Amino acid sequence: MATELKPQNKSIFAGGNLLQVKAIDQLMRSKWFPGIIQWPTLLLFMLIMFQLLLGPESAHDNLGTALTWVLWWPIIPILFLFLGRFWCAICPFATVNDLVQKFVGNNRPVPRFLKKYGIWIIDALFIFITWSDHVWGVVENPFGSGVLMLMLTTGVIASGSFFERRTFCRYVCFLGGLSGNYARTGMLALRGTPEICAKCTSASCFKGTEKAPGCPLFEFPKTMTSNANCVICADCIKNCPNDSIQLTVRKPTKELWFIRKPKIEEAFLSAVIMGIVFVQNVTMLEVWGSMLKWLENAVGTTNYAVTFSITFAIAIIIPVALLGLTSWIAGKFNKSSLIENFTRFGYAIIALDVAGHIAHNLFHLLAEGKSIFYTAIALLGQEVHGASPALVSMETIQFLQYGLIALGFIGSLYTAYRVAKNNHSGTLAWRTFTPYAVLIVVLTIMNVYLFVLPMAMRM
Amino acid sequence: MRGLLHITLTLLLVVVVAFSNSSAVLADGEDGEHALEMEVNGIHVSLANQNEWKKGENTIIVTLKDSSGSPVKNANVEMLIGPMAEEHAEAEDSHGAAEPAAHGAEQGHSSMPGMEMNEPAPESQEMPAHDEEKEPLLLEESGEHGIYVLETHLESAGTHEVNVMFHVNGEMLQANFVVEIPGVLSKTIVLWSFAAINVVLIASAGIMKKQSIPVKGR
Repeated sequence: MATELKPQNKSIFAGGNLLQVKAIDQLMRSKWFPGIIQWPTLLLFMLIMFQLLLGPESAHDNLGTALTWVLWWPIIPILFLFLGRFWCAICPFATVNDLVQKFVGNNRPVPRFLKKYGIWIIDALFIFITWSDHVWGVVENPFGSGVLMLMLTTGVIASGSFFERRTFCRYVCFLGGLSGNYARTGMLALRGTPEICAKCTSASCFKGTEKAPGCPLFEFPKTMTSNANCVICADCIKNCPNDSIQLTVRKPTKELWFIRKPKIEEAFLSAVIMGIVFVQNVTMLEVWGSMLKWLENAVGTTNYAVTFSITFAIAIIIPVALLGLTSWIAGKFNKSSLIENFTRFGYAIIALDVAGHIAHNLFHLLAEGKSIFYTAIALLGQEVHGASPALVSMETIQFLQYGLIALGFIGSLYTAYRVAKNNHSGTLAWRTFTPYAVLIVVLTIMNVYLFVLPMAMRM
Repeated sequence: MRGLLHITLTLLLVVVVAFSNSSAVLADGEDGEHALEMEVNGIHVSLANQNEWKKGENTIIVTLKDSSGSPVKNANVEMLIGPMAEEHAEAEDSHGAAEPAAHGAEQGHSSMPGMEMNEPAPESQEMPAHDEEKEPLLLEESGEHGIYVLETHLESAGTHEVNVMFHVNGEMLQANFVVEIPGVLSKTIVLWSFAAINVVLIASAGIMKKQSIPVKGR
């Protein structure tokens, strides 16, 4: 009865349900999914941890560093774009959470303060971790990277021990916050079929059944309007007694056009991410050394924690302030408050964030990619000396970076346009849109400029 | 429950703070004010730290006295300080046991840390050594003659080579010291601390689970 209401036979490229494809449907409903990917990921994670904590002390020779910072970290925003938060379904930390919970979990409700301030905590953690990486050299130091992983492991063990479902992933994990924002640009969407869900009273998708647990991230597909907290673990697909769940392909950034309840903390995070991408780029530029010298002279100290903190604060403040200024200018036209505009249009920057992030990481992936192979064969006693770690030429990388920034620019510009049109009509929409268009052009130019300058490598 | 969480969070915080500012936790007992000394061409050179040698801000004091014990004035003292290459560190005795450098800049420079670009120092991977200068740092002559002071920031822990260069009667002399900058917690301590915290968390959760009825199962 229920399946008749589903938009069957619609092409999957035209928004049709991917679960129409038998192979995908079988995979999603299989009891082995997502475990079949989760467990190998956990094993790989254990190898990485072993390397980071007990392997070579030099990042250059450490397979854990290569797999973490040259392979995983660059690939992850690409995954968010194509598969939404699917990474979170197979993330080894989440697996540890589930394991601990299974054996000793007390399943207590999520603390109220986490529900209320979770995203702000994530914002703060994301800023702190990026800052500490620069000041304490986490990426350059395999053991430091290992300790970061241990901290996250301890976090998920604490969460899994005492709190229900994946409290840590939803309310604390800094990567979860980032992925939540990025997944909004993602091309996969999971939703309940409204007509079917309207008649449903079981809420099996949320509560869980004997087939699978309830949604690990506390989502209720019946009322879901965003993929920010859907990890596509397929538990709801298995649990739904009415086959209501649909998995569809959508246009990148589409979710950003219709945010029903925009939140300032999420808009703020999108501006912060832009600043973090700036600072990551700036500190990897060959001119960073001279900039640092200048700053040391200007502030009268050679303390790197001080000079970097100043740079970091400036880099983060710039996009936040620019977004604030733009929102204030737009408010002159649309009579909305600065906060309202900031909150609504902050989401428009996410497309450029994702593009800038992928473009930055593309350098590590493509210019240092072979180091994964070199460090792996070094484990077998085969040393490679003097060989280039680059997979492709710098020209190719730069071409791809500019292409990505161009796509991000289009995505952000169009999102701002759609948000303006959804909230205002006629010329007012255009007047509201124009300042944001200027902002997006400015941010794009800043990104492009940073990619023009030569970068230093991570390995 | 709340108390237990507080205890485990405090333990975790201690590990985090200890790791991030580990010099405070695992100082090797070296008395920072205790000076390292050597003779170079009849000039008595002593190297001391106002406090303890540590990762971060240090106030380094060099005292120069001639053979008669009189302070050496206006010696234009410069210093190079940086992490030492591993094989050098192993070869050297740990504190102040380096031999006086030969006279003259050329020979003295051959062992300067900043020049050893092809030999990564043991701790150089740990932190970016932004402030460990490859160019000599000029020490300020303090009010008391023969005493020269440098305030500098050391980014990394581990064995460091300190080259003190000074001028006496138009001749440049150099004294090389090796100092151990305490700071890195032993990996074993860090790993066991995390293991202990996690075992406490899991064990407590297990005990609590046995004592109470779970609210909601996953």
